[in-house]
Amino acid sequence: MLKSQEDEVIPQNWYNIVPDLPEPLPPPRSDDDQNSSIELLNRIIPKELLRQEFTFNRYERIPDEVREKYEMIGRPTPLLRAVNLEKLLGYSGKIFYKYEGATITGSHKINTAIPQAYYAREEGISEVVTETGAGQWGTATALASALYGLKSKVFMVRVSFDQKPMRKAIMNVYGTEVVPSPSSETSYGRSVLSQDRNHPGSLGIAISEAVEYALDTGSSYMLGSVMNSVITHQSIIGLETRKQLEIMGEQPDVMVGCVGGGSNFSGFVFPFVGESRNIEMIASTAIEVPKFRDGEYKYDFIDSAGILPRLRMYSLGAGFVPDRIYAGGLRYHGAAPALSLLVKRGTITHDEVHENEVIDALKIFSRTQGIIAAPESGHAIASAIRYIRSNKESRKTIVINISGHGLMDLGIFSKRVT
Amino acid sequence: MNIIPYFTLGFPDDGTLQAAVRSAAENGIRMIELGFPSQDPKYDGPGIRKTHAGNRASMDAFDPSILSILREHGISYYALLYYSEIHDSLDRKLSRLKELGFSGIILPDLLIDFFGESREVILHIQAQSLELIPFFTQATPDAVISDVSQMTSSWIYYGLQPSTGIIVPLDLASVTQRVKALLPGRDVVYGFGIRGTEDIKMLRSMGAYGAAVGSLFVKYLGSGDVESISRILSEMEVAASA
Repeated sequence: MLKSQEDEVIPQNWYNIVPDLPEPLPPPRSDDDQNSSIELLNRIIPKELLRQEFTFNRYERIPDEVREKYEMIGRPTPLLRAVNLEKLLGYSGKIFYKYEGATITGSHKINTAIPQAYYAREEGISEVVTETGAGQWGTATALASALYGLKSKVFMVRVSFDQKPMRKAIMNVYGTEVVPSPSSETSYGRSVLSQDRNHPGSLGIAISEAVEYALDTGSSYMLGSVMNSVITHQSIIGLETRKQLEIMGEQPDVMVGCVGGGSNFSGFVFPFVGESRNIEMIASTAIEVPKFRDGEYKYDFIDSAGILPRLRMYSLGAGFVPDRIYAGGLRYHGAAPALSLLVKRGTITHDEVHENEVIDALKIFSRTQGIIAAPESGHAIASAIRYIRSNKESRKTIVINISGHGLMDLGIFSKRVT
Repeated sequence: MNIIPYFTLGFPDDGTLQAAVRSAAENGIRMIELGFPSQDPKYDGPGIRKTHAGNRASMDAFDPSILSILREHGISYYALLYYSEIHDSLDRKLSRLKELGFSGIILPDLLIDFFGESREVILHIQAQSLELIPFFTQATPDAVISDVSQMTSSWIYYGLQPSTGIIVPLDLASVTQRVKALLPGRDVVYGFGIRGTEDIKMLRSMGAYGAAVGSLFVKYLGSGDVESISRILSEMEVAASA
């Protein structure tokens, strides 16, 4: 049973945008004439999660136990007005931010890790495996699996593994085994290492390793982003935001978030997409990973090894290896299909930010609002500041999703990119 | 309830396909789907993909006796094609289908890959006196189902799974509710992943107008085992009418 205040804001159901999209979402593709990579998902994903992946149900009930865990990890997360930032920028409108960094694991990723671990336990699964880029998803998986008594393993993109030893330490404390990817533990990892022993890794490679490990060991694969079911779980961000704005008597005119695979952004804005009033939705990406500008809207693999089905999305190519930018969570080559579709149609616009501008935005936000946001979230802040500087007199209400805190990423401030 | 077999023209060879079609006709089917081979059967699973691979049959080159068998038995036949393969010569292809006696056409990729032009294409097909059988999936948005169904009056093809012949978990009770709410009074044929008589009984209890069955037959066609196809169709017909 939740406390009354939380009970009012934490929704009873997640929201799935698929039945409300303006056109059909292209299905996943499997071009193998022998075995379907779509059917292969049955072997590595809990049945309930897979049902949610392909459902047309607009609302999916959040199990009571999951709602209770949501409260335990800090939901509802705060929605606050950024008064000091408004003053600093001389903005005549209002700026709000939804702070997902307030969860125990410090990011939005726990919103889907908890239900995925819950469904795994409900189906008698004893071990889970996944990949992580910046470490936020790995941390969320580590905690969720600990809460449900599951053994867990995380393939961590090597560049992040090297840059962020504390992330690894946290996962270890929660009881998770962490290995750098590419690793010598999978045949795909070994094949990558055989070509480049110092390969920095990528999310696509780490996903491939985790999926291969799941297939080989019978463990369950945890989905970190991109997939519909994950975005459905992340809708809790937008649903809470809507309720909190309603309580405050506000309505958003502009919503800004950062995009790696697209789950925090989609979860934040999708509950607002069907609203009759016009809301500008801005997806902020790293200029070093220009998926919406230079990427092609096409069928492409989720993972680098091509084990999983192909999805139609904006993609820079499954083999894309981005620069070693600090925002590891934004290094993914593609973006969620429903988000990609809405970008293609122009419902959602996009903006690209360089790391230097991100560092400046993070400093501004920390000195005005006190929060050191994650480098990924720094892109959202930077895009919002850009918007405000170009629309100072607009008096619009802007809501930024701060997808995580940056207390594990302070190294970014000693870096200045030229 | 109708059992609607699906066969890809030209697979595995004219003789085996002719025997399979004849056995289907003798088992009392009233409708059939005939697929034209595609270079890129993008939304098909491994079973049906095998029937397209290296298959050289086309609208102008396939065994016409198959259609004669169907006409003899008064069976309505529907063409299944990917729109991506006919849009460059749409008028010629539609007129050929009409000439061959097809009652309607199913284009599984039309609403997915050509959504922007789908309305115009549907009207164009109807102007050629062919029925466009709307093809919906679990991922078809509610508003699209409502709009497209209102533009048409035929039966509707509803794909239950993400591609043909594969199975992922599904809540059939929710499907029934959705279909009743969005397609009141329409005849709905369910396809994709129909694997046996239990599925047929389930669909019958849902009030289905028909069940499309294709992937299940591929291995029997491949080995020339028409007898098994006949047995399966016979069992399904019993389950459909029980």
